[in-house]
Amino acid sequence: MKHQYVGKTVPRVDAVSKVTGKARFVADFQMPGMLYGKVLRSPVAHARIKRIDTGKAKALPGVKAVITWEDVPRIPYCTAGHPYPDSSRRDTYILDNKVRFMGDAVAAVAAETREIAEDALKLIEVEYEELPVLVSPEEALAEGAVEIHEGTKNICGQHQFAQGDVEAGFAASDYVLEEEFRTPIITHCSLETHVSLTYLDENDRLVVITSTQVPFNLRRIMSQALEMNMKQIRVIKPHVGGGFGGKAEVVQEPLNAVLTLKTGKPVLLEYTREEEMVAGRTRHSTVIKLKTGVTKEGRMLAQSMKIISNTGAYAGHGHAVVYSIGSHFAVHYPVPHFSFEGISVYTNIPVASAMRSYGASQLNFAMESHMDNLARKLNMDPLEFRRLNAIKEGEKDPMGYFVNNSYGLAECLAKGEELSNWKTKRETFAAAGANQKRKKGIGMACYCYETTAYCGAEEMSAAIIRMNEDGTAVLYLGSAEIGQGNDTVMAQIVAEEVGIGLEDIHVIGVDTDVCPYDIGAYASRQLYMCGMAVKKAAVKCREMIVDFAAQLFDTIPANLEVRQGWICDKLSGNRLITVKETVWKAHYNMDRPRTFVAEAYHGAKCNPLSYGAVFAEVEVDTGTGKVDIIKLWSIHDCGKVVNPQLAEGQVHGGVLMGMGFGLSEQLLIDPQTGRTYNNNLLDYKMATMMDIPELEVAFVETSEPSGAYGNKSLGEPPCISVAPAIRNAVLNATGVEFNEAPLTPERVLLKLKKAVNG
Amino acid sequence: MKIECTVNGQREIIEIEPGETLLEMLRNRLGLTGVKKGCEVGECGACTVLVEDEPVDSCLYLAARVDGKEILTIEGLSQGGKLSKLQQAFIDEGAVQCGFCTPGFILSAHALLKRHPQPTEEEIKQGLAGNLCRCTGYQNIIRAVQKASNE
Amino acid sequence: MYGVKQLFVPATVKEALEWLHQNPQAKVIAGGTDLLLKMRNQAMREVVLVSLHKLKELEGIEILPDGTLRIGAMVTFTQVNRSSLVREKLPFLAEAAVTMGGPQIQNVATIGGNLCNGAVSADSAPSLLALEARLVLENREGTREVSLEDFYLGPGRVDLKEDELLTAIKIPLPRHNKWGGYYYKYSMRRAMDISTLGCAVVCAVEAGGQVSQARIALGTAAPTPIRCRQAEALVAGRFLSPDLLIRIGETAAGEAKPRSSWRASKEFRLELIKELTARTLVQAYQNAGGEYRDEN
Repeated sequence: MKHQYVGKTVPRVDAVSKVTGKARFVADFQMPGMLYGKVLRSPVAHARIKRIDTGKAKALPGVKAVITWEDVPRIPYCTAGHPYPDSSRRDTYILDNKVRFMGDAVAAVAAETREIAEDALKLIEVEYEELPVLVSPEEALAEGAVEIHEGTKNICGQHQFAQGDVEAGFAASDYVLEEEFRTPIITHCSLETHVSLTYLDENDRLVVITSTQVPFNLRRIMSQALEMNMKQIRVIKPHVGGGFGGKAEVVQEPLNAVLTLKTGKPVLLEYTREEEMVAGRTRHSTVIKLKTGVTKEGRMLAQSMKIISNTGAYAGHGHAVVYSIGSHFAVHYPVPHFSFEGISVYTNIPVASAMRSYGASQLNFAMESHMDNLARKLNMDPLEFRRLNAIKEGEKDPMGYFVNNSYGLAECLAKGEELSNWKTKRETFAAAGANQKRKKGIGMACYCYETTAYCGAEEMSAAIIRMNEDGTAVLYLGSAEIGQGNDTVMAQIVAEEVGIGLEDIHVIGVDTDVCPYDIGAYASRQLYMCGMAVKKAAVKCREMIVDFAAQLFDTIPANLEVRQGWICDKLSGNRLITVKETVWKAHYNMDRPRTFVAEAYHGAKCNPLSYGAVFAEVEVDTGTGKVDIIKLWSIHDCGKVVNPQLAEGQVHGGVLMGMGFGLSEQLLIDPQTGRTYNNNLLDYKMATMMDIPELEVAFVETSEPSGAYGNKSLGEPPCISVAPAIRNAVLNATGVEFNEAPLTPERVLLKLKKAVNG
Repeated sequence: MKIECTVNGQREIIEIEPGETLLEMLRNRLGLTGVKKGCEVGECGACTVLVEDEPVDSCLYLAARVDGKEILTIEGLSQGGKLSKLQQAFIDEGAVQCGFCTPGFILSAHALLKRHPQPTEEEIKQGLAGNLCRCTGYQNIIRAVQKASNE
Repeated sequence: MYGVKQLFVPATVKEALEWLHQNPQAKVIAGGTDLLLKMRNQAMREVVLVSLHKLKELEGIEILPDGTLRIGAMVTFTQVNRSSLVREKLPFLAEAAVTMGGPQIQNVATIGGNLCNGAVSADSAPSLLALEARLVLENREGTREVSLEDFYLGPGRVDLKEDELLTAIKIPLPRHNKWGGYYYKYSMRRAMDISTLGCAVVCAVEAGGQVSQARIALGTAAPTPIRCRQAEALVAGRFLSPDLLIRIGETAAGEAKPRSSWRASKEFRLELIKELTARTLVQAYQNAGGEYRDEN
């Protein structure tokens, strides 16, 4: 079927407001009488609060409220922005009498200016009873370790599963390799920090304007944490300055709400960058043990995985991330015998939670590094080794989480092989000799990834289309635009299905007072889930309009169809009336006036796998330890592409994030005190424009039968396989196996020196 | 203290505090909220504005210093409601995602093109190296600047 | 909002020095990109500032009658980079200037501020050390000159009295007709970063190809930026060779005193010193017109 809007690059619906600086983000809202919130942060990583004296702070002129754990509801809640029931532990209080990481919230102030609020923080006297600081999972799991959350033994969650007989599988293998991989703490670095503005409306309802990926889940969690019903809370999501998973969580809004409830005033609570880096959210650091048995021909027979995930001081999305890792573990390289053990551990470091790819980046780094190490031991080409063992067309997920009804992995591998000139480079680089100071290498990695949160969590999206009298429309979305282009693709779908122009559609998303329920922007699900809801609503809307037109022309709807904004006679193709004029006539109609408001919802019935591969060509400077990326090829099967430019944009950003994970990014924590060393954008090394590699993006367009237009996920996948592809290219260049990310120059140089010197 | 400056072509006389940053003056006193606050320590470039045609981080710049100077913010770039070439190129090339870094990038690029109307890719990268973006991977931003420079 | 109680903006150096004399507790702000950071990080309040941004006397780049190049203390890194005089006389210094921060910072940060801040990682320091730059310091009583090497007293400490201003940097221009320089900034990113290690070499080459003299300076390799005189002695009068380069690297590493921090271990920095000293020397030698084929 030929589409007019779907599959085309169209300008973003929010582009003009963003290039003119008019787009409003939370901090751009100003309200009369607005106060500034500030949080007192713990100077120690683990302590009981013995005493807090807020007297002096309260006495400071301009201070309107100072709150401590004694002033907030004693209701534990789960901060993970998922639907009910909570997917993680309810271990967080708005404020508590214990601090669990350096930077944890101790108290909060609302004052007339930010400076007064900051000064007030210094006047709060706190007496801490310090507790042992546990930074690593090993320490936290040690016998007799102090419990960070009582009754947990510092275990946030754990689970295991197995199929077949993994030990028998190892025994039957010709070769068994067991290895350990480590991944660092990564942080989101949204350019806009966590920020919210709370106030009471004229009915004393709590309004929360906030930078969030999950407006409805946020409202649900706030209603529980504050014991208010949902009618009393209105959540508004304006433009959001980046999320990447860090805002799929209720990080600071309940605290801000308490400041507003205490003062009756609007309060802006804006995290500084330093707060964001420590008291925002991070990606879990992991230790992953992989053990694989293979035949001498290279066929994998058995595999086991053990993962320890450091979730930090609070659960956040905690063990749900490890569940997700487990669900992806068995499907990429299906083997007859496998086992999985995962544990999420509490420690006294910043809170790890959801971040773009939800565990798949850690899993994929370990798995794809392991695959190359295995291929090397078998003396096989790593690409061929993958081809032999990876999931095939039509092959089922042994665990049954995912469906494989649109399969593009083999084609992604073939495309990458061709584009990167893989075979020639593998040969010429190997032949270049060992004496060169700068060594070239080529490597690759591949992935498969979910398209929704189903069936790990509840899944639902909904949309409302309301036609204005003149045939323009308002689209109400619960699905959050956070920069990825959500509002634009949804408008494309409405334009396509209703038969009006893109410029005729205004998108409202998200205001919980008027928009329909949606679980939010995560799991790369929006186009698949909300896209289907929008399509359903748009089709409904079109049908209503056609129905009315049929009455106008004394015919039956089945004889009519919409083509390029016109309602046409199906048989002759004659244009009868425009869609817009039809809507006009319906509203201003003496006999049969009517409106067109269409609502639809969509719940997932399956979770399709997307696929992709990354090929990397690098040059390693063995004198300085620097890994220069000559070129990256990033190839994706995300089903049908609905907006090529937006899709490519997702890949560009994801690849750079993946490169950071592979080469430079890591949040560094003092193992003794739990202090975060690099709590700023100077010392946390995300790439600048000077650091970007040459990048070629390609799509393998399969058609997913359950997608609205054959589409699958693309938001998260591009960041997944970049780090292991680079790592494998370094292995190809140097012959040295780096089993810990990132491959910083220091790590590379010292290990290369060691490899030379023995 | 009182200063006098030109902001987006308008002469302004403004009463400021001695410790006030240019960022605070523009956002809070003049309502120019297109100037974004990303880090407050000159590490992200979101608050970039042009002082005498040169990009500066307005977070790390005392307002007192702009006495007698000309300032351009994103709000001053489109003349009479018409987008500048650069703004249009950012839209056409898909250089905008979340949009938080966008005003800073456009202003850095605007200053670059004024000095180098036909910059090389390397010059674009150097000229925009002080602006961080987490969404776009920078690829389409480079294309946008190239497109604007070719027109 | 920074915690500034008072901001004094003098119109002349004389006025500034007089005011500094009366207000010894005041802090001098040049570009502010370091000082404001410090004020924020330490949550300083009630600071008294004297800002030099209106002092025309501290601007400009010129050649003095004695042949030295004078750079005003308030000259920004961008201005150093764009100066046709610097590009002609000291091209490597023009390039070195834009290794610091990004454009926005280069447009504001001043060369004087970068030195007075005393940071061991200061990007201007190695090049200026290798050029044997001298600093002009003034107070109400008069003017004195110190070499940059003597100016550095320790980490974050410089030989600048409370009532003194650094007004200019004076650089004796290399007289040798075949000379070249190079600054190698080693950092984790190609922009917006502090140096893990900085190395500058100024090198003169004889007609026959021998190095007549080389001056080698390192940043972030010791408590202050340093010269590596033993390594310099080793190379004087010699032809470059792989063996010599290895020895020079090792000698420089012996002269340096890097420390371990969370940013980089001592072991790593020592390896970098060995490698980068040699590489920078080769590059400076080549810039001087010397021919050396690096087999890498």
